[in-house]
Amino acid sequence: MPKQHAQIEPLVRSHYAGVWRYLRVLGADHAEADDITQETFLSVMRSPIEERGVHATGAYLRRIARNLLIDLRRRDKKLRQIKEVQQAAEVFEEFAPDGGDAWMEALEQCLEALPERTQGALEMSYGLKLTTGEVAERLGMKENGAKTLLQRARAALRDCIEGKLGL
Amino acid sequence: MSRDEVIDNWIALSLAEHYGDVPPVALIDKILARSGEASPATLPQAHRGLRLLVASAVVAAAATAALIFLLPIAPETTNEAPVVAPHDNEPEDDWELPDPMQTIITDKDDVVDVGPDEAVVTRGSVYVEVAAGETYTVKAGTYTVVVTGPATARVTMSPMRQMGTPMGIAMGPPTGDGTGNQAIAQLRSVPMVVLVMKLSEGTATLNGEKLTGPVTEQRILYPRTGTEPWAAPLSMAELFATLDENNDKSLREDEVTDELVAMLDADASGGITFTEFETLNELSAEKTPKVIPFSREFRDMDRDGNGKLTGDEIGEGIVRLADHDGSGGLELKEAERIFGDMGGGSGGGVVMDMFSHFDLDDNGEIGVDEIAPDVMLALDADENGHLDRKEFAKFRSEEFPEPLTPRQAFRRNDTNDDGELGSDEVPEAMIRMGDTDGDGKLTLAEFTDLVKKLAGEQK
Repeated sequence: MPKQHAQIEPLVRSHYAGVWRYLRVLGADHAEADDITQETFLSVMRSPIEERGVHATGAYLRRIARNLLIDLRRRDKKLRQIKEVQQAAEVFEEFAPDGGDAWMEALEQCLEALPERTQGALEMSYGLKLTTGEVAERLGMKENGAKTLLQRARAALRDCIEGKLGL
Repeated sequence: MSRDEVIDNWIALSLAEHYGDVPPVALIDKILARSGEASPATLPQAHRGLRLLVASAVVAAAATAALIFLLPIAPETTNEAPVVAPHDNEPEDDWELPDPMQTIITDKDDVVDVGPDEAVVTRGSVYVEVAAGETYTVKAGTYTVVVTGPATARVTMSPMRQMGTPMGIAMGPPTGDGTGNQAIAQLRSVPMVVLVMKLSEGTATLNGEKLTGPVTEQRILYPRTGTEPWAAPLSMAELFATLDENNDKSLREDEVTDELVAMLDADASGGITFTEFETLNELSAEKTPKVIPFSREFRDMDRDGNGKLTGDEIGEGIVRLADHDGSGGLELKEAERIFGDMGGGSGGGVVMDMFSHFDLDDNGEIGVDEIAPDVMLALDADENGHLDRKEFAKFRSEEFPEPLTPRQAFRRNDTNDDGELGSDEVPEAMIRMGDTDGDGKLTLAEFTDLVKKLAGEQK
């Protein structure tokens, strides 16, 4: 393995998931998140950064990723989406200065606290990508009922996560 | 997108990740496989261009401060920006307004001669509220304002000191009269007076030109004989008021130089009181450092005066710099001038690329909202959403370690590229001072001689 690989690999392994997740929260689709995550690390390889601790490094990488996403939106002439990226970035840094690891951990814990039926509905919707109608059918309830169940589940998760993160 | 929408979207993404839509591990190999690729460098190029763009605005401000009389606002933007004048920043509710639609005169500064239906303003403001069927005449220098009721208007005459350099830079030897030094005399001089006619509602005429409110008109008056009453030298109190832009009765670092504050702030309050300010007369030239502060440049862009530059404020500064047709944005030709000044030449692919990059809505004009988002990305090193004075100073010194040469300054001001500076490009006072052949314009040679002369006077 070239020397550069040896230097960069630990950095990539530690941070690629956080950067990719961040880009998705900022509105990037799968393909965009894949591409910009790669570009972010390539940018770092061109001008190596000092190792300043995992959080500071993560923040630095997110800043590069955000700028690259904004530049992509700019090239596509999407002014409104540039503002949305900036707004989402502000919220993310407020909730997840660690890159989202604590957020995901809180989510796992909060999910476990939900009733099994609700967890099942969420898994069908977000894991199996079923429509609300299909979720309702599998749960033997009306579509509006499933819709309400999912909405309440998300609201409960948000309250729980914010409580665990002290926000 | 609201904050709640961002969080809701995030929860949905987190759930998807929890149920298997995880960051693809294959990305690790892809990244490592590409580690030898050359840089696409799109972003650095764009941001480099932006930094130069902002730097151009900074330099323009510096050139203005150093080479010409510093006007409160540029003549071509007189309808947009608030006038920095001694009394214009006082709150409106200072005016005591009786019942509406009565003729009221507020003699704020004892420099307004008021008659039954006429006022003569030499310094300060007069507020006029005229009932239906009435007219009121305000004479201000060579201008006559006739307000026809129902209407409300305010007419302000603001003397502007000559600003070859901001306060604290060019403190020359004491003058012969023993009352102060050359710099104070220079600062107290009144080479021009700004007349602001603010018609809130109704109609009026300004030297016969009909106006319908709401509208603000501005005219600049230059003394011809030197004995005009409105061109009398500023008193120390008036000079203090002129410098005290936030009207807090204290001159602080953002209003004068850090050095001047350090020199005069006897009680170490962080600002200069009027009593402390008056001691300026007693100081010798040797005690005054010769420095060129950037505070004026910063302040010119800091429209809300909060000591922080936002993307919008810097974007406005950039647009103001080159928006010669007053459209509120930069057309290609106007942007070319900036990019040409940056050394990239004009009309080439670089200019088109930069223009296209910023012109998000493809309307052929770069607006403030199209510049502002990138400004912070390029300049805001600590990512706190604004540039403070420290960041701004650092950026300025990085981009422009050297001052402009006279030739560069000439080119920057020669907006129509005719090789001469006319009255539409620089203040008339400057032309009067340097126009040796009397053709009403400044050639490069005349301009260079004038700059040298001004620089020599400041030494």
